[in-house]
Amino acid sequence: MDSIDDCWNQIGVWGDRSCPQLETVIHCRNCPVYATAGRNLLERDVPIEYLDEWTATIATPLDEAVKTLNFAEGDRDSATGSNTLSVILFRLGDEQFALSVGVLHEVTHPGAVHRLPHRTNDSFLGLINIRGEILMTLSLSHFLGLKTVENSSSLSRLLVVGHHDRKWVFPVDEVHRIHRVEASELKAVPVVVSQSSESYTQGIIDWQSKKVNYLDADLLFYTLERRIL
Amino acid sequence: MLMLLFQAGDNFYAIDSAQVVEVIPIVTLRPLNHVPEYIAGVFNYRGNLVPVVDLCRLLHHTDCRSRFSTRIMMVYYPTSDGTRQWLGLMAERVTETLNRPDLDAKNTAQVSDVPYLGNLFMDEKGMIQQIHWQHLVSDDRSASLFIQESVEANGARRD
Repeated sequence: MDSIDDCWNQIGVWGDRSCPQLETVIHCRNCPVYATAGRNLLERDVPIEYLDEWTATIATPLDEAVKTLNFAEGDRDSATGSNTLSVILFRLGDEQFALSVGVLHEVTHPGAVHRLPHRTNDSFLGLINIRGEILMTLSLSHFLGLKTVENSSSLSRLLVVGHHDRKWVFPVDEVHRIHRVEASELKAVPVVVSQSSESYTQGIIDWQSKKVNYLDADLLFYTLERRIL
Repeated sequence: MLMLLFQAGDNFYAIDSAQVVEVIPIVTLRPLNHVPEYIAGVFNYRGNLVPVVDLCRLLHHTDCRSRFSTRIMMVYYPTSDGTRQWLGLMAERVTETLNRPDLDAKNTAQVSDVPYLGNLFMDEKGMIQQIHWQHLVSDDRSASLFIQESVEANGARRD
């Protein structure tokens, strides 16, 4: 294979940014030169194992392949005797939290929050326009009594969560991913927990060697409605 | 019309994506004897014996090279007796699609009398020729004969 002219490392965004194309394409990933170089990676000879693996995969009837998958899942469920939970993992300051995806409406970029005279306080930040809906924005970290860490990094996001017609917006410092956990993997909350968030914590999830607080969404929303409204 | 682009030699060709079911990687094919040379062989496609046409050999008289970008476009076409039949079309550099809703008689040119060779049109990449693979199975006597004989069990019949 011909050697690659990696202009993106020389004059592109990973180089000194002197490429004249950058004015029109902004980033190398939009540039046709970069795309062509990427496509050329496919111009390599295929190893025989790759051929054999795909030949075997394609030879498997589709419904059988699906059946195998279902069986594997069913097997796992019956082995643990429980079902799995899908949670969204996010970060507030130094702590990781999780909420059930059942209450998650969307994750969006931060926007302008309009403060309400005489109503805005440390927990209730104001109103925000999310796709034409006026929603209440709350500082979850303040509500849970966490230390507030001032940061305006590019990772911060807004979580839109809620039941049915009542939705809330929580600014968070980072949204990691949606994670699936076995209900049996949830650990009980330690009896002595130093921060006040323990009353909303349903369990602890181990994720990438971090402890994640799985928040009780129902209790959280119930308390929010009582306190804020 | 959304088209799937591929290359044979250095030239670009396009087929209509409407009847393409999926694009799969290159697999090991079992060669067949006494068939037209552009039939690369048959393989087991999810339990069906499916013949594969080597478009590079058909258009450029060279075999498709064994590359990651060489892929098989699977089509599932209706036959005259009401059943449907699988066919694999193998080509090189099957990596892109092209949407051209504006193609009509004004900006295309009919350049060949061979039924499966379609119109030629211009694009940023250069000249692209459309391929009507349907004619490979319905018009070409030997190809349809081949499909009838070898995959009879699947219910294939000549048009």
